[in-house]
Amino acid sequence: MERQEALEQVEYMKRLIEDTSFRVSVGYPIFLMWGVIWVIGYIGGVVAPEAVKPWVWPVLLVAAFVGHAIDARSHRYRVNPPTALTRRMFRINVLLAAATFLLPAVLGLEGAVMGATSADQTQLAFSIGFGPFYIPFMVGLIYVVNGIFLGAEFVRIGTWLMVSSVTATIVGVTAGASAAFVWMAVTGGGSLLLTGILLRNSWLSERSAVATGTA
Amino acid sequence: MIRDLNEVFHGRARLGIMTLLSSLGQADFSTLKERLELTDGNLGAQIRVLEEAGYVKVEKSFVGRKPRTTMTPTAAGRKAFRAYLDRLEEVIEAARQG
Repeated sequence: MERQEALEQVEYMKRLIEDTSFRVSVGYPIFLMWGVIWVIGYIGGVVAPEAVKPWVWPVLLVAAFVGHAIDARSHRYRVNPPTALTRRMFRINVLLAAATFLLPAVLGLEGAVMGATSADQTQLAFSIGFGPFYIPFMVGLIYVVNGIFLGAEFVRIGTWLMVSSVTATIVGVTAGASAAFVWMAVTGGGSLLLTGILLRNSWLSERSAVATGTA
Repeated sequence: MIRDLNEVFHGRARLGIMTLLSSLGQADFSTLKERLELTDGNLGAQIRVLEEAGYVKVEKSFVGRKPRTTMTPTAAGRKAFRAYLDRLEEVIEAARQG
């Protein structure tokens, strides 16, 4: 009876720690997937044949969508039900995602409507060269905002992605688009892969600690 | 032997609070409430017990206009909680051997 009581206490503590710490580390497949996608996408933008280049990112984004669906399905029975916090985070992410896609459109429309430098502004807002660095910057911003709720790992990688994107833009202007694409593959894709690997290690050690009762 | 355990931690709610505070370093009221599924009144009462025992430091601040209450385990709280965990281990080990 006494042992049972002690075991129940330990089990309760393990469950609390598991619920708290698994939330971030369980996302490692997503980081690994996006790391691979960034590397293929940006290197593809340099080495793929001209006819294939326009299809590289659309195909990768479809693959990412499928990857997210599979990942969500695998967690269906493990994640906690939505809480006030996760609902709030979802709303913030929807707003940020909408802003990511609306901002270039607004810039383009404003340029077109006002007439001032409209051609250049619209070209900038919608150009293929703008998206590869602007969208990662906004993705970085989304990571930073989520980091406020999820932890320092997200703030760190978000900041790194933002810095990488700004640097890539400078590299693009000074050394050409190909150099900027390679830069984004190495710094952006590389850091996502590294984060995925670190989170996976953390996830494995947490699993092992819970299994052996040392958590 | 389980009777020797620190009564302050032995209740489910206070055990949960100390577990989360030890694992997270610190936590605000709403995080604890959400994770432990406690009511405001119950959580407030349990935190008061831990605070009076000197195991938890409570800080109140404002984020914008919203009040925020943050709990941090004190050095004495960490030490006492480690001792509690050691006692639990001993109970389990004694039962395993016996």
